[in-house]
Amino acid sequence: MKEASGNNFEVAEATEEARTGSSSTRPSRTLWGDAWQRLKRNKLAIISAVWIILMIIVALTADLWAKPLLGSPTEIDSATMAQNSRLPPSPEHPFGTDTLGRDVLCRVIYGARISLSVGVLATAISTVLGLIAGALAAYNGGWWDTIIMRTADVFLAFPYTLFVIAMLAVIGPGIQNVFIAIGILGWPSIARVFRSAILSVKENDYVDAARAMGASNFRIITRHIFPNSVASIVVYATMNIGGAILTESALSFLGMGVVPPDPSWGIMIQDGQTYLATEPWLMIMPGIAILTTVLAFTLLGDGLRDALDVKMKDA
Amino acid sequence: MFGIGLKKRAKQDLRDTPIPEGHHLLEVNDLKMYFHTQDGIVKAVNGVSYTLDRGETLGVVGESGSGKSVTSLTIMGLIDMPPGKVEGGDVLYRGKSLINMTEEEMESVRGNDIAMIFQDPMTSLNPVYTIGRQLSEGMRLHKGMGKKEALERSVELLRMVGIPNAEQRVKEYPHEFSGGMRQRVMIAMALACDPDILIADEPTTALDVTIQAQIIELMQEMQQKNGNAIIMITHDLGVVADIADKIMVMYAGSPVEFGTRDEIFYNPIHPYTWGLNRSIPEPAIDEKHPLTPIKGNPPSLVDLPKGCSFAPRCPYATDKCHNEVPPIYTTETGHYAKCHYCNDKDFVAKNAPATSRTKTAPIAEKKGADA
Amino acid sequence: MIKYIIKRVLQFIPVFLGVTLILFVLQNVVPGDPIKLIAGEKKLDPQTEINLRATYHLIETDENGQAILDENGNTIETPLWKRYLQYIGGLFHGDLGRSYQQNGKPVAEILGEKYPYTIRLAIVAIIIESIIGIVAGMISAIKRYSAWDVGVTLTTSALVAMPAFWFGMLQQLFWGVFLKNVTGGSFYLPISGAGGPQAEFVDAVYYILPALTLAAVSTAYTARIMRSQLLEVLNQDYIRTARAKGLSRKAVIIRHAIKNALIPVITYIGMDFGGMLAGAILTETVFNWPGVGFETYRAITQRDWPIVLGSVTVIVIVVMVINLVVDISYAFLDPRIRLGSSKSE
Repeated sequence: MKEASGNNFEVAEATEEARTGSSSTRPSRTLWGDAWQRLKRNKLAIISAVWIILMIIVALTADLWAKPLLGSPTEIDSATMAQNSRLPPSPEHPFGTDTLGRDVLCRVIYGARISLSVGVLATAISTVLGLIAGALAAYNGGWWDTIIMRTADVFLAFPYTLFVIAMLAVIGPGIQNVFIAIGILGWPSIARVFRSAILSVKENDYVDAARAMGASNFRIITRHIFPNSVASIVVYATMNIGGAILTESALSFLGMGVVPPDPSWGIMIQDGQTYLATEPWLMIMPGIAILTTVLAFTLLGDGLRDALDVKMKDA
Repeated sequence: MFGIGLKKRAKQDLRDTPIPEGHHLLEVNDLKMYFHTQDGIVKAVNGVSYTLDRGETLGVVGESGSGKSVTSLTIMGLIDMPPGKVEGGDVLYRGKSLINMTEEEMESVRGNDIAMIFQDPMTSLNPVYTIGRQLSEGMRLHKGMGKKEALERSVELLRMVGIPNAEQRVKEYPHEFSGGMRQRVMIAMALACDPDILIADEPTTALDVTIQAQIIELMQEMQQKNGNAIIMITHDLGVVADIADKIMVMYAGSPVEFGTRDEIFYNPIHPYTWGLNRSIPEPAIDEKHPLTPIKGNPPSLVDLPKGCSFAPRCPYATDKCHNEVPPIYTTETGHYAKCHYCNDKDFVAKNAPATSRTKTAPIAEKKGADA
Repeated sequence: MIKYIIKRVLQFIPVFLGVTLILFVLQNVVPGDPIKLIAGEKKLDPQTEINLRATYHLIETDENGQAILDENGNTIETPLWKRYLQYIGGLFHGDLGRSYQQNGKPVAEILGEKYPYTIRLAIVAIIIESIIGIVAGMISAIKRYSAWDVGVTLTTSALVAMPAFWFGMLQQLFWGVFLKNVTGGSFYLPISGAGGPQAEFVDAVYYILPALTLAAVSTAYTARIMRSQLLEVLNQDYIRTARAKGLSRKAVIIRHAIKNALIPVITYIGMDFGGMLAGAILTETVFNWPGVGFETYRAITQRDWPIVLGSVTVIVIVVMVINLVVDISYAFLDPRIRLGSSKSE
């Protein structure tokens, strides 16, 4: 029925596959190769990837140029503080200065360090925890499945922001605790994604076929289940980084996250709130930084999802 | 909200106009439907021709991707354009071109003069509305029936297609019907407005073997009652063996052979048709009549082979086949094939399959009669 | 159907107990004696302290609320598990405990004051979200790849990627500051909540910016879900069947696509409403809105644990009830679920 769907891509793909004579169980190497070919065509995803790489480079090398050029992002020079306070954007200070006379651009650049590291580390924690929980639930089934997934339900039943804030109130603010809180609270969604990925792959006809042909469990897992699940995990993790960055900014905004004088974007927005009417750039610039970074991770995630052909629940 | 879009609009049903002199009920002339995609032009239908009269059944046979479904969707005007585009040819229904019709004119033809049944009855009915409502829709649209009248007629239709307890079942939802029952509903829906032509796109593929025969029988029965023409699309030559008057064999978007049922079964002249014949399972397969699949896969419709499309898979292909597009060779009975060698009697006699069906009609004699 | 509801309620019980238990334990492992939190820097005389401990159920009491003393004349500390059971028991009488501050005001009373603000704000936001989200998504799907569609896709991506509080501040900047300056103060929207916690007067104009902010992300999701659902439905076989019947494109969309596509959208909006009732901490903070979210946030920062525990308990119940209502309406909209799967597949 492919020819009738009116979906030209499907037609083309079906015929493409017919011509090359490849079957549906391709080795994982070409899965990634194909995905890369498809990803390359997605301009938004490529721009996003470039933006992310650029941000990483800027954040990593900031000590080499940003500090000498723009001054320290954290230290306050009490001698010049008063005359440098809340200067509007100028060639010397492209994003202006904050109340304590620090360069806003420099703080935004150093803020990228915090946001990116929180995004990546918190996601890494969630992913590892989620993978373990999801795998245990899916492979063992039975009571394991019930207990792990019910626990996940408990975690997901909490209003998320409230939960993170409550947790930070208990363990105290600070960047390490932000990693931990966001990381720990993120596991249930990854566990769900991974569990259902494993289950759906397990139920696929070709896994049945492999099993019928006498393939060992190990072979089934490495050759069939793993490549398919990894795609969905990569996509999910990419999108999750954006979410973690948003959460960090919210926590810092509320004063529960990163502790000043560390330049978190959320803190900078909070600082700027007071001067909303008079010096709006104080809150606009870090906000744009958050927006572009999170957007880049989301669009890259979208692109990866399409390229890897991962089926996900909506939005 | 539920009456929206059901205004009676046709002034006159096309099927009440007489067929002009020298025309058939349906004529498809060298129809070409291409899809313009990022990867190139997909020549989904590439020069299809046939004629059909009332009471006749045409079987369209081919592998998936051979363009058989796209052909009928083009006739119905159900291809999205773009990406689809009619690149040439025409479809005449009672002498009137369906290709040149406005969308509005086409809407009064669809489901009214020409109706269609689809492959998968499990997904072809809207899950959130009752059977009665979905059956009534066409009649309210084309016949201007009221809600109540259409529902009464729906009950009759359900009874006609052999659904027991129709008064009750008309109020039920699709998921409460089995696959076979749903396909009966689809047939009832297609026949609701008494169409001239019924297009059935693999109507039995998704069904159990036991149900398949019932559905085919039902369609034949309805045809005898109403006198409509049927276009039966299938990948299974066996399905059309008993019911088709004419058969068109399609390959890679083009018809490779067209003829009466007898011609296709007892006197096929195209190597692809031979291949299809050889791959019908026979009750007794022995060494003399081996079940032979056609090797390889159909070509890409974006990048067709230079010569004959079938050449890469044809066991008899020569250099000529690989380099030159074969012409259409037509006999005086209208039996045609697209092959460089199909008018070579010796070639055909030597290579045509000796299926069990040919026992009743020896190849050699038939050949002489045709040539 | 009734069976289904009972089943859902039963499924909810372990989740509910888990959530409250976690919070209850969290509250009690926090370093610091609650009495110190209550008293602050003040020194309490021993009897007041005993009374306080009795009031907060930290020690064993008799029927009259008087502390029970052991043979040495000391108070007996109530074990954690027993306090938890007492807390759960109290829920059945609408007793959520007492605040550590505000003179020990009952938590239920405090939440009762805050909830109307949150509910009203959520209702306004959900109306904005439903109308704008559904219409934008629908047009996007019907006119796929058009300028409108591209615009909606970009806008929703951006809305989802920006912090809600920042979006709220941009609103304040535009409607409250920029417009005020441009019009010389003759037209602008108020940028701060309904006049602070004590305000009884609630002016509709105060709702616009907080509701827009609260609805922003949800509207983006609604539009996206509507778009993708409608596109998916339009690709279904039954849509082709309807077209083959001779229905026009418009009639097919109205009669066959919208209802099917709306089912998941309504589910999302329902769940989202539950989430909004949980109190929008960020929106309420930015706009100084005297709702549950702001109150909970205040309680967290000041370690007023009974309020945190109480409000989360209420939130979890509210979210659960709303999810149940959503599921039931889902079943009502989709006959496959309503009629059970006994006859199908």
